[in-house]
Amino acid sequence: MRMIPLSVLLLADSRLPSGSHAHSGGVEMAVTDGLLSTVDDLDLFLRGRLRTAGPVAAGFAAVAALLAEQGARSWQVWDEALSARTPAPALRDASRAQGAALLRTVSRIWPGPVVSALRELGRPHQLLVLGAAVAAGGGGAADAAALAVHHLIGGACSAAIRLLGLDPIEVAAVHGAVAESAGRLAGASVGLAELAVSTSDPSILPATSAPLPELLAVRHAEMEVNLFAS
Amino acid sequence: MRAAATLTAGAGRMRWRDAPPVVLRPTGGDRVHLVHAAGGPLGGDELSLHAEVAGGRSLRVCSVAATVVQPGVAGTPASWRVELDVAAGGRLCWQPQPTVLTDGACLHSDLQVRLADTAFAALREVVVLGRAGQAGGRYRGGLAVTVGQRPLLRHESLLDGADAELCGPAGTGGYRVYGSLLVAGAGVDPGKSLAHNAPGLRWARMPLAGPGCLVLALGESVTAVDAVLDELLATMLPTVSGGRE
Amino acid sequence: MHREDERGGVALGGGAVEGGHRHRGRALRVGIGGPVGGGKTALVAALCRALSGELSVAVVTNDIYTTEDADFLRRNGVLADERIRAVRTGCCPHTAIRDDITANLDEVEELERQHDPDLVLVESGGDNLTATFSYGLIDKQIFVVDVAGGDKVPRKGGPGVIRSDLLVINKIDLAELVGADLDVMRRDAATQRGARPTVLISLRAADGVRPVTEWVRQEIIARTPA
Repeated sequence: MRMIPLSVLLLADSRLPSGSHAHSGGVEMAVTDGLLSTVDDLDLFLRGRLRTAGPVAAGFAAVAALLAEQGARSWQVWDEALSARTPAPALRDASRAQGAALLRTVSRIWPGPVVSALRELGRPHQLLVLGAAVAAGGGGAADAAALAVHHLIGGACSAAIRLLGLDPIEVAAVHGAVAESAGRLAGASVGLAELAVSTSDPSILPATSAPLPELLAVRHAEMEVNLFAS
Repeated sequence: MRAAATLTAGAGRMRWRDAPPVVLRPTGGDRVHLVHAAGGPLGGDELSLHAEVAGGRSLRVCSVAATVVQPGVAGTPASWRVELDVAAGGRLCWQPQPTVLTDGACLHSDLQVRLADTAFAALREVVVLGRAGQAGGRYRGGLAVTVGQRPLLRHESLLDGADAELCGPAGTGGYRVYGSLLVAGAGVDPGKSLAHNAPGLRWARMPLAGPGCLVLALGESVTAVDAVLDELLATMLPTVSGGRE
Repeated sequence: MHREDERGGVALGGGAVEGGHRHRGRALRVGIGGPVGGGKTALVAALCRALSGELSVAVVTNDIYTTEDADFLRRNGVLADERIRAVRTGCCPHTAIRDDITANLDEVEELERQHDPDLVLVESGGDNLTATFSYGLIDKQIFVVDVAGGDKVPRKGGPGVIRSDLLVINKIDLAELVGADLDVMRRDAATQRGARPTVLISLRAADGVRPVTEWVRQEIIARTPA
């Protein structure tokens, strides 16, 4: 039975300075437009997100962990591949802002050549930093995929609690209920990630998405008063 | 059924090879109409088209009527793969009529577009979940655009009229019509981000991280979505004709 | 080639700005915190007006910042648009200045890169008496309370009242109206704070902000190497 390195658990902790507490994962605009207002709505939203955004998050985080394990110094191609999967400028900005924030903290905890290589990109996408950090902490590709999906769910749950005053215990139950399928998704992403890295071909990685969250992200960036950064 | 058609807008005349039910009809100048001879793909069909636009040439691909996708045996998906190669200075306009996913139907659509650095393309797609009164079938629509060897867009939309999770706020939000418009390549100014929200219609204009811009739309009616895509195409590149012929 | 991200890269905490040529190193970063309604925003505006003639100033606000706010600041000549940046706190104003300072650090550093200011003010979103700044984000912090919040506030203590580098008791012009005893507040603050300074001001009075600007000037001088 494998013991999860505590350093990897650090990356799951929302107390870690990562900039992500101010990003709602699409929840704020959905709430403002009346599309999400109950715990059941949140449950439906999370399940939809796991099927669309989930595979991309899991795949790229897993890739980043594998690349970091190999001591990769060249990340541009993977960063570009993520940008190609993120047509909404507001979401690219949010990813880079969170990437920069996490990289600041990770550079302090686990300095080294991989982290330096990521810093050379300027503001790398958050998933790449997350995966590299997992590897730096002694975790593997499956851990990275799991963390990516964990944060995809957790960020949305947190935002829904703050914006709607949903019962946090009920929301925890929702998070718990989707965790199993989320875990399976994360596990299933590793094989393709390994193939992508071994062939140096990002094009085989998932590019799944759904239209409404992308439309909402663009709209959110235009709102005058936002409590969340995205 | 398997069928692979090809089309070349080359230095000389247009050359093509039909592969029924995928049928091509040049209709004057640089325009070709795509016809689904059987009315539309059935689940289990594997259909493909490879089109090439030679240097400095232009090609406009339209279609005669909406493509209606019907269910096949045991819910197997229909597959439609399109590869579009545009050489230096070439121009491509891909504007088929809407695709309708009837109840129980499933379509995997995959458009791979490779543009030389100085090539240009405008690609437009409208997908309707169900005929009138239907919830609609499943659609997985991939769009991969590369400009001069660099990936510009990798986008695979998952739609499903019968799936609550994909019809909810993380999916299509209950709208039955989905539209997308991509403009990419030489001379394209990605422009500014812009979102619009009105009863029965939402759209957003998304400058990409490269020479291109993607518009996505969700609406209650094909007419509304068509009108928005027409209007935006005209603003994104005034020299390209906005309507389908 | 289209470069999508115009910002500089990720910095490692502290230290002089890359390429900076000022002899005194990077800007003095001052946090301004305190409960809602105490006068933080008014203090920021007053400091900018009073100091921007002699110092290069920039501001990061965690308060909800609208185009109306930006217009107000521009119209009143307080500070140019491009010297003010807003940070969204995701409904957790104390987190953004204390537990996860990364987003604020990002904006502070970007302002320092672009304008090489002498002073950066970071205004927190309105919160209660327990929220204070992390010294990883700022060098000094000002805690602003007002007399209408009650004259018992200094006696209650809390990290803002006790440990802030400067305690500002604002709106003293209202003391009589709200039945606040300024002597009590002054004494209680001194008891809680020991040697740390407290000033009692009214921003509505002519040059009411002077005690605070004097304090800021002293802090900047103290940072300048001899």
